[in-house]
Amino acid sequence: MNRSLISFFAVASLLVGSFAFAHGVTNGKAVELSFHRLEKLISLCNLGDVSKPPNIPGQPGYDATKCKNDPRRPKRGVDPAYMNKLLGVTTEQIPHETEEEPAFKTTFFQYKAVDGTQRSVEVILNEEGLPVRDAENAGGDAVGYPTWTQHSPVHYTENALHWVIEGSAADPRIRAYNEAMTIASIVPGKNSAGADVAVIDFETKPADPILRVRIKLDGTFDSTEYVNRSE
Amino acid sequence: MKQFRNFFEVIGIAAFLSSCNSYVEKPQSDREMAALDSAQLSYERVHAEVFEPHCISCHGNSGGVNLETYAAVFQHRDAVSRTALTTRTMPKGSTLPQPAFQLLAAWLRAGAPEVAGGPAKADDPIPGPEPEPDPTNLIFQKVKEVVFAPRCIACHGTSGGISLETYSSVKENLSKIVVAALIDKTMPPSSPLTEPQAIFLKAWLKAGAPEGEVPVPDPLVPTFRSLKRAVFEPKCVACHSGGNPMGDMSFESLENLRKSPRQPLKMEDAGDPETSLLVMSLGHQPGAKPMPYPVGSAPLPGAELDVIREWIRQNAPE
Repeated sequence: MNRSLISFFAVASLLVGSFAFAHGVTNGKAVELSFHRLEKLISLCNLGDVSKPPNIPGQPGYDATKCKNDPRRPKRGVDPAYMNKLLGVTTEQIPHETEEEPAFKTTFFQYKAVDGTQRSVEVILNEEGLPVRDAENAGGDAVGYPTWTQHSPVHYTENALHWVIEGSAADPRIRAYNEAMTIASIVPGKNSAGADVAVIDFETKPADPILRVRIKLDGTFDSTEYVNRSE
Repeated sequence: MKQFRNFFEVIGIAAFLSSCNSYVEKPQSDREMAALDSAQLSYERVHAEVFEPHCISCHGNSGGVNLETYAAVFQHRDAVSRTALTTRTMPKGSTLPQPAFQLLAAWLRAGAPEVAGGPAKADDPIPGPEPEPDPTNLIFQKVKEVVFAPRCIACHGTSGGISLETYSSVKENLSKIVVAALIDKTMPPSSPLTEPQAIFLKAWLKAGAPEGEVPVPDPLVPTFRSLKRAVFEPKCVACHSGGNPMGDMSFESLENLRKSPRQPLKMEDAGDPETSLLVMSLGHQPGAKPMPYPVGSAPLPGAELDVIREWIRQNAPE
């Protein structure tokens, strides 16, 4: 298993104790809203001087490690490369007393750099899912990440997350993952017919099976299954 | 609603047909090619072999498109090409025989010269896009004056059948009118609507077939009410409304919008609307989901986006 994946799961395993469904939103919803916050942070990074070309992956001059240097605005936002180098996301509930206080901490991880460091972004939400603050943890340029051609891993993971959240209303087994999700990770894979898909694994308690959702490369739902960890 | 969907479908078809370029078939043999040498392609010949035997009985000087003079034919050459060669809806009830078809095609391809081997009529401007009628004229009474009264009401009055004398009856029969007058061109039976009449009718239909004066919209101002009427309701509310709105954002009320966990109106930098999610999405900022959805939809006009920027800069007043 990839070293990045191992350390990602090591960090994630520390979080799995906090699986209870707390007050306002579910863990799954908190992760979804954190994704939206991540996207906004990336957009903020790309906001800039209109006289310069936008910093878009695949476009000439794209620099994945830098936000635009716009003299009109302070530098803020996060590395746009989270869009394409996402390894996974963890979430945990934070003990709190009022609804304004931090209630969730969601962390997005990129693949590790050659020097072993790993960039991550923490998004803190209150119990209604409103962003309270965020912070980016430094690290080197990610290596060994898969190439996604049609959509970003952020897009695929969000689509899988929507499937879990929407399926939660009718299926108690899916609901458990929406309410107590602690980890979501994404890798390229194949479906039963051998076609390329994005495989998104959702985890709750260590003893519980993994909910595996496959998303076709066009972004639509492919299939799902529960996978025991021993498999 | 279904009737309206059909109506817009036929409008789409009509628009498609009217925008088609003329298609000109090629002659099939060397002999025919020789016969259609450009040195022999004159209006006189085309008139004698095509228009006179196949068209003039309807398209004489009795009304509608007149094909009796070179100037008139040249002016209507696109319509001639479209109806006689492409859609083959003319001559009515038959099609041109192959020699006439090829002669007409070759003549049009040569630029519709008046004399054999001569240039196309140079003093007539090439027809440009169809002129749009004055929008303030696009009311039922005007359409009745320009189209229905002179061309239809003699038969389609109140004596029976489809009446085109009243707005309500016309409105009920819009799809039939479109098909008969603009697509099949089977009405009026004597000759189709003239181009100005067809243009006027199409423009009125495109404007939603209004009965009375088209109200002049209020100017767009940076308030939620104004933006809701002009932008959010027509372009956003279909998806962003109800109990489970797309993207957790409902544009039905300012209160709902403010409550959204996505915080679409929040400026990350105070006073800088560019840092709000709403402007990022509508402005197609990289990283933000481009709106309106689906991807590929036309972005908001710059003037509307500017008003939204100003509205957010003012902290989104009601």
